[in-house]
Amino acid sequence: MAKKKKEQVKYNPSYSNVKRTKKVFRCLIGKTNIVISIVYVVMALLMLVAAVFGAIFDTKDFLEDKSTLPTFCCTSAFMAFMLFTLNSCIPNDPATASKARGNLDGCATITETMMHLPIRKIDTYKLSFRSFMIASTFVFFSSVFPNVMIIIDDRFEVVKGTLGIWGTTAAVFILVSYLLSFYVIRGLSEKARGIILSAALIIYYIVWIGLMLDFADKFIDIDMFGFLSGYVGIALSLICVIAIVVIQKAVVEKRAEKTAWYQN
Amino acid sequence: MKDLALEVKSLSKEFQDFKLDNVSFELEKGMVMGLVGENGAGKTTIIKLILNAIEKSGGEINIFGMDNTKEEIACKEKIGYVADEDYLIVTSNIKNYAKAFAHIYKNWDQELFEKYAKMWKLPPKKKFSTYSKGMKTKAMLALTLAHHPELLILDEPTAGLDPVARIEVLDILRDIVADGDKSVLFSTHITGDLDKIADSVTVLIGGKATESMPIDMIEDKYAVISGSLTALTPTNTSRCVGIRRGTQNFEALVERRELSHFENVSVRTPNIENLLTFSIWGHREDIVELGGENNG
Repeated sequence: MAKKKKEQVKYNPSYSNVKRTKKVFRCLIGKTNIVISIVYVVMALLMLVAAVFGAIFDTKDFLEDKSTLPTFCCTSAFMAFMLFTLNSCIPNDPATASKARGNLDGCATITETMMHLPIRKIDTYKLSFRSFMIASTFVFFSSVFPNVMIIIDDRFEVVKGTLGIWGTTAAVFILVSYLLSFYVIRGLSEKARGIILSAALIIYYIVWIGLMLDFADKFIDIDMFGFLSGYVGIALSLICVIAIVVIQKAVVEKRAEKTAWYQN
Repeated sequence: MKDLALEVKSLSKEFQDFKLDNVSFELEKGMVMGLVGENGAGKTTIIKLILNAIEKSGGEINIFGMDNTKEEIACKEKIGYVADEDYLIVTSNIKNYAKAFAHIYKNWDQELFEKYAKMWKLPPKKKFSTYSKGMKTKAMLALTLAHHPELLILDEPTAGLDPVARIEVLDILRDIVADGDKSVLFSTHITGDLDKIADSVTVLIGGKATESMPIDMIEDKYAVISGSLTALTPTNTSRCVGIRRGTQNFEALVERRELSHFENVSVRTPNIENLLTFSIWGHREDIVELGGENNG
């Protein structure tokens, strides 16, 4: 029997600009990035579910093994970082864009193709912001969940310091990533931007390893950071999310609406 | 009133080391304009400004009467763009691109796309990284033409192509413009590419549009004169647009109305290349040594 011919893609006037941009983006990047993104999301979800179940149903083990909490948090951050880079289509300057053309397997900066199509720059920003927020949710959940546990279960008091350091690092990391990736901080060269982003990621991992291997105990009094957990930790995460959303809506999207593709 | 496809008015753009200075030109519907100038004259800058890739410092760009920044989507619906360097993602393929273009262009014509892809032997599932430069240019042309653009913007589409691919691409372009239903802005520094295609030409020198006129008017307005250096005097030298001097002879571009100031010179009709090269030499106020007597 002859194979049924696939229905031809057609322009759909009912799509919003963002949805249409997303469709174009998905077609252009091919299936590899989509598959990798799905794998990351599934892995991150599994990690979260395993950590949540471990923390609730096997609390003793969860708290005794010092590496569990940092691993749970940091893996989520890694997933988040990869998800964002795989699904970002923020316009860069021409030099970066031309380099990024062949760099799709690692990062989906496809500005040069998008720039001459009937697509608005602001829609690429909106699309990338969605991806950033999905990714950030993993990171924030990884710090909010243990903070909630600290509030409702006294046994979690022992990880207050670790969580205080962790939550603050995560919030700063997300904020720095946002400010740099979405060009809120202007006037930096692409090289400087890349160096700061890489440094933020390296610091993030150093904190993770330090907390996991008792490294930090030798240099700092972890318990001192306990006040940054619990209600304060949740508030810190919420303030960070709210700040990012407000900056995005009030500054970044307004600016993206008015500026040319390569102008930040 | 003129029916304009593209109107560029007093366009300026300032960079640290380059300035596009008050450039104006008009492209009528159905016409082909050559945008010529040496490398770095500002051709690609103008195209980037038309596409709203970079922000203008001043001036106005209208595409079919619409402001290119305020009505960006509507303008880009009507524009087909083929770049000097391909914009194709090397890990993707033409099939993915066709699907993306079908989502974004109201007038996407899959049959026409498939016709071009078949005619130019473009393998649909092969990654662009396996395509030759000529194939990539043809791929961009196939994708561009299949959404029926009313204004084609070609940014040095033949640059870097081998001679065979260049001739093939030029043949394709000649076929496309033959119908006369598309307006074309053809940026190039290879003026030979414009022969038999262009209706008008805009010459860019150092970020300024020194001339913008119909091709027919070049021969009406200008003449190339040549003769012995003794025919040049301080007075008539200043009347030349540009001069190319040899050890004994010279060649110069002058406005026809100035011909009476030159004696004992032979006169011939200029082409686009003459207009461009002599304008550049005039701008540089340079003396270019002739290789020999035969300096055509």
